[in-house]
Amino acid sequence: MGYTAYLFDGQSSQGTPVELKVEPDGAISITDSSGASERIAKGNYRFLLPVGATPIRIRFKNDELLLETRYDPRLIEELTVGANGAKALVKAESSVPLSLTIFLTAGIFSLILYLYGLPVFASIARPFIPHSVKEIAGEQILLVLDTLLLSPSKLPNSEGERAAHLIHAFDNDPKVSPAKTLVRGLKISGVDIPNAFAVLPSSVVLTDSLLKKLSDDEVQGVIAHELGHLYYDHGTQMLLRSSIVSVLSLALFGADPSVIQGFAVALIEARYSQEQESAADAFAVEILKSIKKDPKVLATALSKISEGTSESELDRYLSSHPLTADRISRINALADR
Amino acid sequence: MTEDPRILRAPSPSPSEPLEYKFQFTGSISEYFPIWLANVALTVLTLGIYGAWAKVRREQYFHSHTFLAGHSFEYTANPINILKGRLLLFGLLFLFFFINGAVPVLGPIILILAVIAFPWIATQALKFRARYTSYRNIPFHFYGTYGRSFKYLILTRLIGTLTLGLLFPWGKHRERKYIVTSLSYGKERFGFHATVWEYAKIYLGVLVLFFIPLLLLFGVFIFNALLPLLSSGILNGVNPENQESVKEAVRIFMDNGGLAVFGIGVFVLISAQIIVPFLIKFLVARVTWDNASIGPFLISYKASLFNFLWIGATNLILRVFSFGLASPYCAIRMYRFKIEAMSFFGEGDFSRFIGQGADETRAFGEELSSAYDLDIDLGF
Repeated sequence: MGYTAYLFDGQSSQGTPVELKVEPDGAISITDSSGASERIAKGNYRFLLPVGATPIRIRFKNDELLLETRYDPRLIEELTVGANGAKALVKAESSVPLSLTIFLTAGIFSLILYLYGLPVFASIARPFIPHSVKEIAGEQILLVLDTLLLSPSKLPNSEGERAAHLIHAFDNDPKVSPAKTLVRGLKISGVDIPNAFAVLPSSVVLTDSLLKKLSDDEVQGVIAHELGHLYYDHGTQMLLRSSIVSVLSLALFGADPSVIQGFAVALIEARYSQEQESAADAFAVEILKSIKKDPKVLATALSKISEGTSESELDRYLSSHPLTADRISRINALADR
Repeated sequence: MTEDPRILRAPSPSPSEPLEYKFQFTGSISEYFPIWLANVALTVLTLGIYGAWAKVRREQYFHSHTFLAGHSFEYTANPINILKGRLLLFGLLFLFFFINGAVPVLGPIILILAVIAFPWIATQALKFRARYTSYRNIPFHFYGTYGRSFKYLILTRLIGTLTLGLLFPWGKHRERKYIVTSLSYGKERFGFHATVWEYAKIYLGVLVLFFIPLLLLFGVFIFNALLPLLSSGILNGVNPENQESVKEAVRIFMDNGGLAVFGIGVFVLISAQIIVPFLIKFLVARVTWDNASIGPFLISYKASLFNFLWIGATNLILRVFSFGLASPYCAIRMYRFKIEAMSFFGEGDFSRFIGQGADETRAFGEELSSAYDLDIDLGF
């Protein structure tokens, strides 16, 4: 059967009305109003399945000429004899149950990727990051922190020596690489903050308030936790993971509201960060036991550090650390084993 | 009854009186929803690789359902080129995020490099978008260059900022004039007739009808909240080291409308970051296209501000509460509203435009732009 179409030659926007027919061998024939006809063999024209009920377009002569006709499923059927791959895609796009099934499959796949794929990628890629890169990263991160947040320590030198002595107690443990302590001041809104963090590749920063507040054993507990971060190279893993998460969220969410994207990224980052904190706590318990110290000193240290702060249930999902009460329970349980 | 735009019509001889040719969008959510689902699902399953095909199919859907004078538009980009552009883009982005995280001091340097690269990216994106949009087998073209893009997209904004916004309308006028007059359909360039004053009215309107009343309200509340503090002398005794004195001052402040101060302050910040740019973008597009022309046709763009705000606000709520599942519906809704507000007036017909040779345009610029939503679209 014939279909009314318009032929556009690409030289002008003038269209020529023609009649289009599809022959049994897949060739198409075009006949204009004067009766002049042209036959184009299959393989010499390009037909793209329309997306939705949109005009059908056929290109030929190196894509310079365009035949355009209204949407007609019969013409599509004639033109796509044997093109099963393309037909399958169009079938999926036109069927809500089928496309929903594929969508849910993709959702499950995303969950697997989130739970296992990203951590595996970070673990595989981590050893390939040169030590020199980690050193530079650590120096730069410390530079930024010193500029924006930290201040020189106001404690006497003896406190710095105390911290250095406490970290050296772990030197004989085979899992612990040589690391050094740095002491800094940290104030937020005029209030001294007790805190500690690990900096690539092998430094542990302790704040003045933490050293003033905690006993030697408790400081050692905190140092053991930070050594856990260094042992697992959490800094490098987080760098790799956050880079992948940022790029993937752009690729997958694209133009969707950044609120949702940002929220999803925050949830993902918080979950991974909390896992790292738990791993560092478990590592700390292990190496404290190896130097014959009661691992519960870490729990008492956490309790003292968190005095005066409050956590909500929302922090369970959005905070970079597990809830303090949960951490203390877990540490005490591990210590009792 | 409105004639079905999908019925192809033969080109008509030049009419004696100006005719109105309205755009019509024939897409529907019932048809687009499974397409969108399949696109998202296949993109996730292929870790983003199918995304290039998904983009082409999405653009093909919207273009092919957009009719003008009996024929629809066509999107002719090749997904392979888009995929190559995306791989390059995401490789660079991964490096940027990694370097920014590892060596933060390099972040500002990278940003400066991005600003220098932006005019090239913008030009390529506009060329790509134009080149792969066709109507009646004649593609559009964008004739912009790096130099002019730098001048009209970067320098004008810099001048606007340095003059504390006084020259924003002038900058926007120059930017829009550059973009519109660099566009062509076949060999016919678009014309631009808007004045600086029409853009100035937009910024003045936002300032006078929105920001100034908000800031006045903010001032009233802050005065109301601060007055008790000033008259009681509490502020003289506040010592940042003494938490109790700080807490007392804050309590008095909050008891006298301090919460309203914070609320209005937050609203002003959100407005400045999200609502106002969204509003200005629409108003600028409306002025731009309502003052454009091509060949014998004047373009008219009569989209209602109220309808735009209503659709925008309800779309946002729908997207948030549906966790993004309402996105295809929102996209159809907004696109229909914008495109059907546009029409062409003229005595000519659409068969008189002359085409010209094709050129290969890199897809990379298009991908970088769409990833960051750089607001360099054609006003639609």
